[in-house]
Formats: sequence, structure tokens, C-alpha cells
Amino acid sequence: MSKNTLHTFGDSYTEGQPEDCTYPPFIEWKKLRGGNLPKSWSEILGEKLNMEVKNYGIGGNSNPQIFDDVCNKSHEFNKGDIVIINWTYKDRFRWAATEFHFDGAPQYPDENNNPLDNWRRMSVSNDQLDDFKHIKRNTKDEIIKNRTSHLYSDEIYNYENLIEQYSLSKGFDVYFWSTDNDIIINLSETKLKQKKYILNDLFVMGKYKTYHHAGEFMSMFIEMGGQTIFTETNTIVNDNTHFGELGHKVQAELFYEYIMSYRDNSI
Amino acid sequence: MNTLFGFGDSYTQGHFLNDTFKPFIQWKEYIGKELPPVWIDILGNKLDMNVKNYGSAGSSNQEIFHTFIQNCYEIKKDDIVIINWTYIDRFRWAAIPPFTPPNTAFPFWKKISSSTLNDNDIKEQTRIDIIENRVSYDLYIEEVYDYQKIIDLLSKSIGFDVYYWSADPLIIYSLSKEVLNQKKYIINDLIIFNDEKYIGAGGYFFETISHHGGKTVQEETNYECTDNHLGESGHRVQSELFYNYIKKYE
Repeated sequence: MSKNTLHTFGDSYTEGQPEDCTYPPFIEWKKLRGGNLPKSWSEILGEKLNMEVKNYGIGGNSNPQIFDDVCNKSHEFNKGDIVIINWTYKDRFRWAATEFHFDGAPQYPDENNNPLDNWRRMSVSNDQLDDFKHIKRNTKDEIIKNRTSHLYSDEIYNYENLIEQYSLSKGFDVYFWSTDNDIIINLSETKLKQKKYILNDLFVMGKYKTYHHAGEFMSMFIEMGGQTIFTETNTIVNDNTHFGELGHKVQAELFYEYIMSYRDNSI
Repeated sequence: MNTLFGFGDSYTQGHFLNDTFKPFIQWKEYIGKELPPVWIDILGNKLDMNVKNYGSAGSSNQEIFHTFIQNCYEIKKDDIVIINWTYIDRFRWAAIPPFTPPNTAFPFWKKISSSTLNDNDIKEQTRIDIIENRVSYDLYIEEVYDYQKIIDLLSKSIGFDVYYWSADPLIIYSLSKEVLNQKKYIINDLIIFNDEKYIGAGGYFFETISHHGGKTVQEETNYECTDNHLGESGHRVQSELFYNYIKKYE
């Protein structure tokens, strides 16, 4: 009998650190560790659950892109599978573009080296100067400002409704969490205390404020013993946003315990 | 009794829910009686099904999809869902305080399109940039097909039938023949392509309705009412073509 699958979707907090990553701090981290990178939480969790892992997290993803990824992979979900969706910061959005490298070669070529259109990942960060080759600064700013409306949080809960309906009819389990303080964790207690919101039993709004880079939900893992790459490498690798080995381990263990508490109840 | 669900823009909403739309008021005066039934009501009657029409004039594809999501828990086995996608330039925009029109207490989604004029909630340049991006890249059309993927899977697992059509010729009707020729694309076997005789505001879908004798409000009123939505014959023809198509697959 084939194994069930753990499908994970989200941003860099789900993508983790693939071996072939090109993100400079991860390259530095890999070098420091002697040429290897630790397992991400989804891999550890998959091993503990004895499930295959399909990790579709991508750094910089926006919520519309994460939902689109779910739509595109939804045919792979089977009875008994587990789907974990990590919503990201509300300000992020996607913008259609055709992108080229400095030498003029297309960034996303087809088989004949013609440029393919792609969704450019936009966020509040103004470090991405290339953004302004594709969008006017004022337009980007106004879109980001508009996205602070709570209607964009409601949009997420709408996506969840559809995914839940599908999970019920198909027979897989779905869980959601978010790195944005304005999604899920700020819901009223009645709404938050639902099985689908992973670790809702542990999370207390306002309790975990020591770690500011990725919202209070991620701060909870720091409180529980997790560390960022920056801390774990004694400040050598300048990434105080993403988790180090211990952070991933803590997240995987807490997710495992939560999921198993419901699996045990259903037996 | 099963239910026929409709999602879409004004072409699905029809003319009953909008007594304030000037052309429909004119039309009502012109014919001197209540406006005729909308295609979905005629179709529901013919199929002997309840009708729930969630069409809303001016909706964008995002909004149509979200309306489907908000109501999908109502859809049961053997129900029928018909989704009408709309023009790709349309999008929705959160109205932020102070809300317009005045006296609106809660935030709401504004319907924005190429024809939106001087809206206080969005800068004109932002509106133009968003529309230009939407009409310049097929990715926004592919986004609609991605929505369809999960709706199709839901329909399969719950056991309802889902059909799609579009007012925008670039959505569905620009697909290759092999892809278009799927049960879910309602009346795909009848669609008229590139026949200049039937060029209208609604593109190929409405050319097909016209080809089968369905007229617009302006055609039915000898252009006294300047409205390009379907008139009585248009709604009748649309419902008949849909009925025959659905029955063929039953």
C-alpha cells in the first residue's frame, strides 16, 4: 500500500532551505556547516508521520499565488493525505511581467529561448529595485496600502472555505497557519479555536512578542526553544528571519503533536 | 428538488435585480409590462430545478469566484452550477475609510473596470496601470482556468455538474479546439468564431446567441433603449441552447 502524502504550501517559511538554494545567507550557512543544510520542518514532519512530502513553498510568495498553487496541485490530494497551508504577509501581491537578465536573456525562457510571462512577486520591501521596471512606484505603493484592508484577510478565509469543502468531500486533512499577525491569529477565540488552525491551542495573542520578524505565530517557536539562523550561527550568518535547525525541529514537533492529537481522537 | 446555481456578472444577474439601471427602466416603459424572464429562470423551469442566481452586475472574475466560494457549501449532489466569467480588465478594490458612497458603515469591494470614471477610492493612474497589466498578459486568463481546476475537482467529489461560459472572447473561446471541446464549456459545439456579421459587445458567446435568433434589448426596441444586454428573445434562446446542451449530457 502506498504512503499518504504531506502537501505543504506557503512562502519561505515553508520552502525552507533546499540544497540547491541560491539565497546568499543560505549559501553562507551551508558553507559554515561544512556543505550541508538541515532538514526543513516539512521534511521532519513527513518522516515522523511516515508520509511522502511534497513541499510547494516558495520564498516571497503572495497569498494569491499560494492559493493558485493549491488550485494547481489540488488534483494530487488523496484521502488520508495532509495539506498544510502557510498564508503570508497581506501586503504581498503578484504582478504580471516579462523579465530579462542583465545580458538580455529571458529569465523564464521556453524551449526555444523565447521569454515566458511570469508572476513577479511584489512586497512592501523597496529593496527590490527591479520591481520598478515593471510597475510604477506610486501604483505599487497604492496597491500595498489597499491590501492593508481587512477585506484581504476575509479573502483568505474565503479561500479556506473552498479548500475545506474540498477536503471534506475528498477525505484529506487541511491545516492553516500564517506569518501575518492580521491573518488567523487575530480572529476571535471562537473562530480561532477550530481544528483547521494548527496549534490554535498553544497560541495566545500578545504572549510572544520577543521575535518580530515573522509575526507572533513564528515567535511562539522561539519561545519554545527554536532559534533563527542568525542566533544559531552565533550571528555569523546574517539571517534573523528564517529558522535554523532547532527552529525547524521545534516547529515540526509541535505540528506533529497537534496533528496526532486529532488523528488519535478520530481512531 | 435539485438546484441550478448561477454565478457571473450582469449577463447572469439579468434585469430583475436592478430597477435602478436606467436602460432597464426605459425598456420596461417601452414594452409597457414587467420585464421578461432571465435565461436562468427559464432554464430552471425547464429543468424542474430551484434557481439560485448569484450573478452581480459589474463583477470581476475574482469576485465571481469568491461569490462561488462563499456559497459552495450550499451545492449538493446532482445540482447544476453555471459560471459566467466576465471581461478580464475588471478587478475589485477595497474601499478604505472614509467610505464612499457616504453613509456606508463597513468596508466593501468596489467594482473597477475600464469604464470606471473618477473613483475617489483609487488613483486614476493606478486604475490604468492595473487594467493595462490585466489586459496585456494572458496570466490573468490562466488564473481563471486555475480557479476552474479546484471547482472541477469539487464538482467531481461532491457530484454536481459545473458548466462555464464567458462574456470575454479571450476567456474559454481562445482555447484550442481540443481544450474547448470539453463538456464543462457549455454550448462549445455551437460557438461561432470570427464571423464579422455577429460582432457584438459580448464577443463570440453572444454572436452565437445572435446567430440563433436571440436579440439584444436595443435590437428588440428598434434602438429606442440603448442597452446591449440580451432582450426577451436573447434570454429565451440562451436558455434553450443551454437546456439542449445539458440534456444531451444527461
